[in-house]
Amino acid sequence: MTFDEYLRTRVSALLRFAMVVACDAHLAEDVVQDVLVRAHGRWQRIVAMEHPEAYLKRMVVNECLRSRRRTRRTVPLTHDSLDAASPHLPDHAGAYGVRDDLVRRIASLPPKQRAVVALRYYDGRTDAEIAEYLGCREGTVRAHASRALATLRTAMSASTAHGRY
Amino acid sequence: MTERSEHDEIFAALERIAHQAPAPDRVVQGLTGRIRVHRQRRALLTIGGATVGAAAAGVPAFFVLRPGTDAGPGPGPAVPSTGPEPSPVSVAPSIGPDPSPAAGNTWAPLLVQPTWLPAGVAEFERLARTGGDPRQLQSWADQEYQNIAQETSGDMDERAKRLAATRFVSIAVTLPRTLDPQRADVPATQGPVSDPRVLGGEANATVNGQPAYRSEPGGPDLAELSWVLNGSLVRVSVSVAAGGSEAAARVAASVVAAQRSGVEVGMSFGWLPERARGLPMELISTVMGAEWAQVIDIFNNDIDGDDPGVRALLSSTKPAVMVDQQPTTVRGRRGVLTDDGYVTVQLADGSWLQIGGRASSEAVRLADKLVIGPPAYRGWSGTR
Repeated sequence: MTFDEYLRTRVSALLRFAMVVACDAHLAEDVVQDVLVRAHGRWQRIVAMEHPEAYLKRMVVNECLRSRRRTRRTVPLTHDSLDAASPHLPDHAGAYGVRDDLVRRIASLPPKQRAVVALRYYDGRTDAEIAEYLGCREGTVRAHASRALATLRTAMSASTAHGRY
Repeated sequence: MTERSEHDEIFAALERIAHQAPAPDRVVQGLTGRIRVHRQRRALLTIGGATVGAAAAGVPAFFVLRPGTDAGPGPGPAVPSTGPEPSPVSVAPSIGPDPSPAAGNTWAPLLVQPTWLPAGVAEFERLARTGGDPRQLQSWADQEYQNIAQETSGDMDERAKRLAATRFVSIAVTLPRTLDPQRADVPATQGPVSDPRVLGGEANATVNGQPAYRSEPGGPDLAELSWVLNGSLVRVSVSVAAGGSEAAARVAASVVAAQRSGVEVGMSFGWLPERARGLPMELISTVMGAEWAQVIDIFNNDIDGDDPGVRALLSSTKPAVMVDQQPTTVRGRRGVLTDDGYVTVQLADGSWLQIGGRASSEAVRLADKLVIGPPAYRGWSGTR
């Protein structure tokens, strides 16, 4: 696959992944562009790897975490931006607020915890794979996941209380 | 709530976040400019990030090449004329040897050099490696390019558009992965030099009879020509303002082995953490106007070249420093330690040192043990 072919066919998925990790559209755009610029310079090496897509995602995760460390910026997700982004999603009264709350809680997680959540629940990675992505031990991954879930379960408990499940 | 429903609920929320991703078209369009800006990224990393502006840096006269000073392809192979001259006057770069590096400094050789360049450009950047895979970057540009490169604020896309109108030439050398016999994971090792995986695409040109790949990565404002020379992949990039693909063909055809030219930086490591010992070092020297910067990078992961295991930066201007910092004493002077594992200190001669890598605990030791040598040779800058 050439670099141009990748741009045509796969950049959308990479952007969505970056968005999940960053929870910030501007940061996701910056990160994906930065990653692709760097990848362009060594595309032959990357595309020759067994899992080039995974490598690019790892670059995205690392760049997101690095960018967070550098800028310390957080742009919280708003109701308006959520509505604009997904007007077609069905809304079931109270469930909307619960989902919104869960999204906001994900967005407010510390970057590494959110990266773990994104990799485990959105990208379907195992703890061992996540540990490799983040350059840490599996135990650290599980600790991040445990803390993140404790935060998120508050919102999900509310979901149960609303009788959605 | 069951584990499954918990998983589904989180996935649904993440999908909801993913829906807010920016439009791919916009990102790809912006990429065009960024790839161009990336050509001078290393300069931005070193001289940029500090408070260097065009006015502060000055515009040294030697950067502006006078037209009519030199012409012709020089001693390189003859180049077939394929159209009008890309620029009114060409220049023949000097390829004489550099002075021997000073004791206490670190030096790495350039592998190739051009013997022909389009007019109006001057060298401002060199990168080379001590050992390991062959790797080189040499860049020339006009003054406007260097002025824009030193800007530290403003819209990146807008800067990219202005850069597109400047004269820029670079020669990069890397080892094609498919030609590296030590990389067992790559098929077709020792493959033909026309292999698209080596060249970056199907051969559509030649350089001195060798198959080459001509492309316009990221847009029509930059022409590139890639071919294999002595087992390394050489890539010549020339902006349209500097002559585009025709000039790229002439520069490529003029490339010869370098004659003991290289990159010298005014420092050497006195101590390295275990993980960095014995690894190749990448040296960068950048000069723009009155400002200069020199870097030694030691990579802990070759392919992820932006994640150096250890980096030492010596520069005439204050490097960018993270906001979160704590004071520390380094080399007997007051510096700052940042949680990205770097220490930054101004040296007695007014220059700045930033050094570190992974852990702040090793940064101070790296700095204290670093040998600062005599000023490194920078006589190549601003010349052809």
